[in-house]
Amino acid sequence: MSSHHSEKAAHLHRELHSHLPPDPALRLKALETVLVRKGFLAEHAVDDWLDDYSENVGPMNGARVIARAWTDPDFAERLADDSPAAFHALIPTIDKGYPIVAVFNGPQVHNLIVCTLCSCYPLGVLGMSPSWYKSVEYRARAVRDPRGVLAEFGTTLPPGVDVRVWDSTSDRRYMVVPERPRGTDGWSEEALAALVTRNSMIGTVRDLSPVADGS
Amino acid sequence: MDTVHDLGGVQGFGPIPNTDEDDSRLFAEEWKARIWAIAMMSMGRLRADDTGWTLDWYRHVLERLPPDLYLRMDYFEKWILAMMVTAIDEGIAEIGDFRGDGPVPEPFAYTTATPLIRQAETPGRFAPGDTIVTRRDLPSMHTRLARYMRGRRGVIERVIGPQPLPELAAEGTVLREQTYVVRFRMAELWPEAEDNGDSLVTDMWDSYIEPA
Repeated sequence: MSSHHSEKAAHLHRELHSHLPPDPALRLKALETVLVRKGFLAEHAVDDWLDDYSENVGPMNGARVIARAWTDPDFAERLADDSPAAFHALIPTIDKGYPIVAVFNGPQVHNLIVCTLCSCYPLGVLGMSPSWYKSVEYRARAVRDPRGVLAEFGTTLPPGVDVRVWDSTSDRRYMVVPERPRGTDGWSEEALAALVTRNSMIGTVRDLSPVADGS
Repeated sequence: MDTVHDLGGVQGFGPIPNTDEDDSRLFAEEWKARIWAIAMMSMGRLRADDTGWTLDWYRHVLERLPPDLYLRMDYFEKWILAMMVTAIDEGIAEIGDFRGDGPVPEPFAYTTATPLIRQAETPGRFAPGDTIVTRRDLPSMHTRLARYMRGRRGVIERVIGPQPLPELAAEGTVLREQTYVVRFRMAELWPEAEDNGDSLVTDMWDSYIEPA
């Protein structure tokens, strides 16, 4: 049962940390061994779970949805109105109750996602987040100096573009829909999806053009 | 509680690390993938077994890491400790089990089931376009009202439906309250921000806000 006892949790952290070897791989091994021996987790459950996760979840899901939204205005509208339904329609393995919210970049707006209080991310759709997304530096700075943060990713916004920083506080999980890059007329959905990067779905990258500026 | 996890706007940090990280590799090391899987499966089981466990309680367990460890440990290292704390708290294991200093552990049994208390939904008070001001103080164990958003004026952008109030969920009570997308001008939040079109948008519960 959950005690919901704050000081007990703090005490256990200190006790565990002072009594366990520092190497996280050894700590993980101890945790997994105990949970399996206790019968809380089934043997081989971790391997099976990871196989399933790596097969069905990852940035490719977001890229597919974005490429479809770029080529099909009705789908884009559905994605804006009811993101979970649009994701589920294109990728049936994604639960239609998954609380994902697509936010769209436009000529005058650029979206940037952060979770300052922990590291919320659409993990059940896009897979594990980048390590920088979980860093204290990103969590502290993205809400206060978003343009400075963008510059560290090589992103400079054109004049007239406002930044909208989304701080994830509730159960909803945001994903940025970048603008379709120039020079991609007539491209297949598959080719378009290949242009979409994980960073662009968080908003640290804006321009996905396959060709350099000025060419 | 105001612990160091509430990082939004804290100054003095350096450049963002690993900005050029490779997309195709979701976990840099095997142990990171495994703690992730263990946590996801454990959460699913605790929910199914209705032990009173909630994601907000788990978040609070993470928030109670010693502050120095919270700031310097890798994300997944924090999760290992938090999952061990969870296993002990739920009655699944004891500290000594993780040290490996006892005999092979016996099958576990939860000590006592304390299912979540579920309360009736409360109605919302706000509509899109309303100007609001956020609460200055919330004397609770766990909150999702970040420090930098408190006592600030914003505008309701959308009504997004009821969600469990984190303050109570962390203590085992589910009270679904209306939530909203609230938008703040950056200049309202930060003294050095230019008064331009840049904004901060976030989801907020009804009890976090008051009419302006």
